[in-house]
Amino acid sequence: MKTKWITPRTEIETFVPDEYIAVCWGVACSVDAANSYEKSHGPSRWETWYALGCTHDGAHCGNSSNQVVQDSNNDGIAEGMTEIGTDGLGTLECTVYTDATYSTIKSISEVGAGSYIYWTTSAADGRVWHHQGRVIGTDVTRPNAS
Amino acid sequence: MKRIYRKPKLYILPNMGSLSNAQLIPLSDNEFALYMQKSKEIEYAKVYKANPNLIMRKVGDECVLVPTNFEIDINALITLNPTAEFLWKQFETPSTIPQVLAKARAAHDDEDGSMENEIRCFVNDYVQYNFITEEKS
Repeated sequence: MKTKWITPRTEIETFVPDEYIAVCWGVACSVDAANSYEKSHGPSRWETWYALGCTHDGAHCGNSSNQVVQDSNNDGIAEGMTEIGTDGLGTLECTVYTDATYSTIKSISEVGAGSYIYWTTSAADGRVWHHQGRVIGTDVTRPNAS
Repeated sequence: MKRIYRKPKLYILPNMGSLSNAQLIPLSDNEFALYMQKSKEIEYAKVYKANPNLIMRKVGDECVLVPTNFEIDINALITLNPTAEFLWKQFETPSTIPQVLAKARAAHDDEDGSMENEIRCFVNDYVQYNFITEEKS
């Protein structure tokens, strides 16, 4: 027996997160380039940052989820950058610079997905880590997965 | 004598020919009808297939399509009514619109004669969402 034809309908119900989730970008430190910098620079002529323990590896700063550039109001302009997965140093604020000389501070608002950036993190004992890497965007169409 | 009121329906059908909308405007009615017929012939010769990156699941009485990878760029729940479910199942095997139309006519009464255009619209919509893809020969 034939059934009555009814108009085919498809409902697409978009998932909306219960809580506000800020858009954020990740950035992995290019550990080889960063270690190379630490081996050739230091706080004085006689010691390098590398010798003082300022090293970079894939398990920490080399992981893109380790550093987060935050855009908490989703306006496409970053407001801050933190390193969250340090090796025993807690959460560190990052200072972003314009180039590999680490001499001129760059506004975090100029940083976005795709930017190649240079940034430093510091420990309370005065050591400074000099990082560099490219910012990658999270998928904003999948906020639940970010 | 009054006529029966029927729910207004809008069918957005694809333009498969090479003319843009601006080029269609100056055509005469006969030329336009001929062009639309040619467009329909092109449309009906195409073979469509349900995107294998969507899996159909039954949840109680509801039929839901679940994206299985990021090729379907949609963060949503896709629910089909029984007719859409029927059409989806037909396109799980690569098919042309006339082939699916024949199966739909065998299984359903089409009292108001809307079946053909509704299947065309279904395919047109699903192709735009990448739920159904065109099989390249």
